[in-house]
Amino acid sequence: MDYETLKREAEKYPDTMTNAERMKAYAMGQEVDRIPFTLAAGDSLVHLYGYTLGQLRRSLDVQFDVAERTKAEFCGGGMIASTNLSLRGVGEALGSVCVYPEDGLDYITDHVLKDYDMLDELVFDPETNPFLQGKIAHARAVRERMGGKCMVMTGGAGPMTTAIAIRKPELLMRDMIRDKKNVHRLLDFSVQCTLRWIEYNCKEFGVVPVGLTDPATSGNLIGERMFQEFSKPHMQDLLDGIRKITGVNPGIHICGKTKHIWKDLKDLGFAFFSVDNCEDLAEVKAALGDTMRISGNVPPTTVLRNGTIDDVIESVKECLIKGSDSPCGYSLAVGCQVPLGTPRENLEAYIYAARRYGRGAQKGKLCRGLYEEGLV
Amino acid sequence: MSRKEELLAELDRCVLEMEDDTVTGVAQEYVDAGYDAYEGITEGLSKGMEKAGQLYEEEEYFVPELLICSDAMYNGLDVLKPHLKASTDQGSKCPVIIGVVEGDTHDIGKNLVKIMMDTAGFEVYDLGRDVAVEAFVEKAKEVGHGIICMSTLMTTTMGNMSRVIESLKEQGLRDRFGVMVGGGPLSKSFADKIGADLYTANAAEAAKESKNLADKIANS
Repeated sequence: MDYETLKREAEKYPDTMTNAERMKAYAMGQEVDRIPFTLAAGDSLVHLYGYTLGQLRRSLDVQFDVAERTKAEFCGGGMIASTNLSLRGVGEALGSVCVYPEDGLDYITDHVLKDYDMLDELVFDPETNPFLQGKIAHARAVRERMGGKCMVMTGGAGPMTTAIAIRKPELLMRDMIRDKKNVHRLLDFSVQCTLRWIEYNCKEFGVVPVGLTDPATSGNLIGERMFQEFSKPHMQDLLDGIRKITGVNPGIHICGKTKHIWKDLKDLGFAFFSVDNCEDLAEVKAALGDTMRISGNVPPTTVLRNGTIDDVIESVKECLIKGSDSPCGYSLAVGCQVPLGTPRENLEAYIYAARRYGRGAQKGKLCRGLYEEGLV
Repeated sequence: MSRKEELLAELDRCVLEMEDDTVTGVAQEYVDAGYDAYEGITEGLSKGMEKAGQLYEEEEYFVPELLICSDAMYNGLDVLKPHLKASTDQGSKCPVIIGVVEGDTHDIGKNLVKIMMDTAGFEVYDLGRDVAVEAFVEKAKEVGHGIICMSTLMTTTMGNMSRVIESLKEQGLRDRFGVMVGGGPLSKSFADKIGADLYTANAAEAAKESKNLADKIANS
């Protein structure tokens, strides 16, 4: 399909509910206009509006502009005040050195924890830490500009991912064999920092939703045995803590291979799991669908960024066929972050396919669109 | 089994079973007995590392295990290398220039590939991480021929791989180098699209396949 045809076709399938109406009705088990989907936060789409990532980071005006335009064009959620510490925030707050390229993603150049003797001296204090206070000030500024009517969201990373923002990953990987006791100390400290942050946010803004990601716990780095030994017990502490603070079970996204830990994700009690495109959505549904909402998993690079309009449409169809009847609910999503530089037409193709083939979505049932189009 | 064979088997075992301290003593005993250091590497340490790579491919070993195995291998090499005889015919080693492309610092994967390439007998030039296009090309000019091996974990920096390839073409160096790429977001189709010669999904496969690539270059 060419872009002109896509644009013409897309007009036939408009949304008839707002995001909020759809989410509420879907959660209650009612049929909604189309499958709920997530596409991208503003930072992945910034290039479409002629900004650099640096401009987005520095300017509230740019952030609002991108949020409003992605809301209008790509069904975005609009501006939110996010204090999510993401993958590296705890590490940076503690003194790991992060660089922020003008048009690239941030990365750590120097990890703070060289020696475990230093661990007791590291202080994570949201009240006084300039980096953390910067996050809070930003959220307040966003909220003020929206007259107080703005959702605040927070979150961070799982224990392993936070730990590798504090100590160099290769050293931590070796420690997992040679210095287990200290690895547990560091993982525990990582969890305490993240919980402290969530608690502080709830004190500042009231109870806020918490998002988690944990790429460093994936099967691409550590196997099942090490997950059980190191990651799982501390992940349990993190979840218990979040439940205690917010009263809600969080969800999680883990990049990479996870099949070997699906059972554990179930045991841990996550409310929601967003799966990478390297795993099969039908298998995820079979393993986890009866206990948690699942989402996924259009391949971000090979399909969304580098594929054709037809590739994107086919991938969305496949996801809907495999995942949309998941018993506890399903949302269409990309298998990981939307890559910078993803072309507009592919984003539009994703939305078009979600609206067309995902129309008439209801929790636990295949979308009506799939039947009406003869796909199932 | 002769004492030499026993020691070779022990070097192999030390690497495979992550005995990164014990290996030093075994390597020392091996050279003290006057056995050939080159054989100690190829028939002892490298064998162990190859088996570790195999276990990694089979998902028995993961990154932590492979890193400690490599520590053991390098500890053994430190003892054996000074005893290599200059006259030993080690064949001509194919040079490999390896690095994480500009804008990315995720280098665990690259380091694993480097380890497996060392094991496989390549002459590895490690440019590190966040390596500028120009740095790859400069090194290529200096080395003259071989394999250029690039990795990245991020989609934002994948484009720098094709910039290296383009720059090699501009400098008239492309024909003298095999180009291989790898990393989380990559695929064979991406490698084909940017004109790379080889994509592999993991470090063990990278070392195996690069041998074929080296043969191809040698025969071209």
